[in-house]
Amino acid sequence: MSDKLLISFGIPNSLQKHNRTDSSSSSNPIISVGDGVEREMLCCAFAEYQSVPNCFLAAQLDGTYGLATTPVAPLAASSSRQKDFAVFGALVGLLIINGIAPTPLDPVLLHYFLHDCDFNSITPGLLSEWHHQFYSMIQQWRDTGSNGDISPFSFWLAAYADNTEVSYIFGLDLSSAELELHNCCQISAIQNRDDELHVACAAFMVYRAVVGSEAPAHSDMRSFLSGFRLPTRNGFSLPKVSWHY
Amino acid sequence: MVSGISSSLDCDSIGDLAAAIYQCAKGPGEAEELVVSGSNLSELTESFKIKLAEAAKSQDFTQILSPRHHFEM
Repeated sequence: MSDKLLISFGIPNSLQKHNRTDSSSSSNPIISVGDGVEREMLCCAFAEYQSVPNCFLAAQLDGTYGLATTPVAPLAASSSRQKDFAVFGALVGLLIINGIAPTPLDPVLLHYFLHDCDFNSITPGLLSEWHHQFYSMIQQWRDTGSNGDISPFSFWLAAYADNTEVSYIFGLDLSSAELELHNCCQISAIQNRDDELHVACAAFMVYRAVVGSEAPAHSDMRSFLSGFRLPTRNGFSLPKVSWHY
Repeated sequence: MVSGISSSLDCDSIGDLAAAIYQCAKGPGEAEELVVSGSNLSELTESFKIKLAEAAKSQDFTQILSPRHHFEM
């Protein structure tokens, strides 16, 4: 302490700057430490991942974002991509631990990750709370039943039940004729469906809307989760904490 | 309330979450110290990202989640 001026211990950044200015005339080296520095560093690191469009984050429901996975990644096995996603995942986990919302990631997706990718953890209440319009559509789908007319769901089916990238649809890069063609293909493919397939379609749309087009086993997702879980030597990992609100 | 891997974390508010998790993650015994330094925020961030990458590679974030952590610039 004699040769260092400790500026802050978790005090607001503005105050840190104030103190730094006051001490600038001193010959002592200036050190900023504490929770404020840690939080600023976490936010700064996270922002770097946001600054590269469509590289790590992909647009999803209601202005939220999910992981920008690519089907090519498992073929490439790029170690730098795996490292980037792992560090990104660790940062997201650390932000949550520190009570900082990793906006704009979808809170429902984070909930899914915190529950170790248990799809059943995405309850109707949770979905309704964050994505009410989408939740209402899913409810209407279920009410329609396996014998009902599903043509009113054509947009949703095109967006979430085929192989077209969600961001591609939302980016309105498809012409109306192309979109119509997609819709017709999807509807005809599941026109004759039983109750099980009808319910499965609902679950599939929820998965695609919240998690994305890839399974948790996808290399990008796996890399992200390898960091997000923050495993330690004593067996701790973030999803092993049971989250009750 | 957040329950941990073997027992409940001592955590009733979001403000206590980090400390409770750091305590739970370290296990018994002395915690390893984590010191990350940089001459500015950018350097500090890069240094920390390198440590995160190493921890992710070894799948061991024990030091990252140490209650004895210091970030200096």
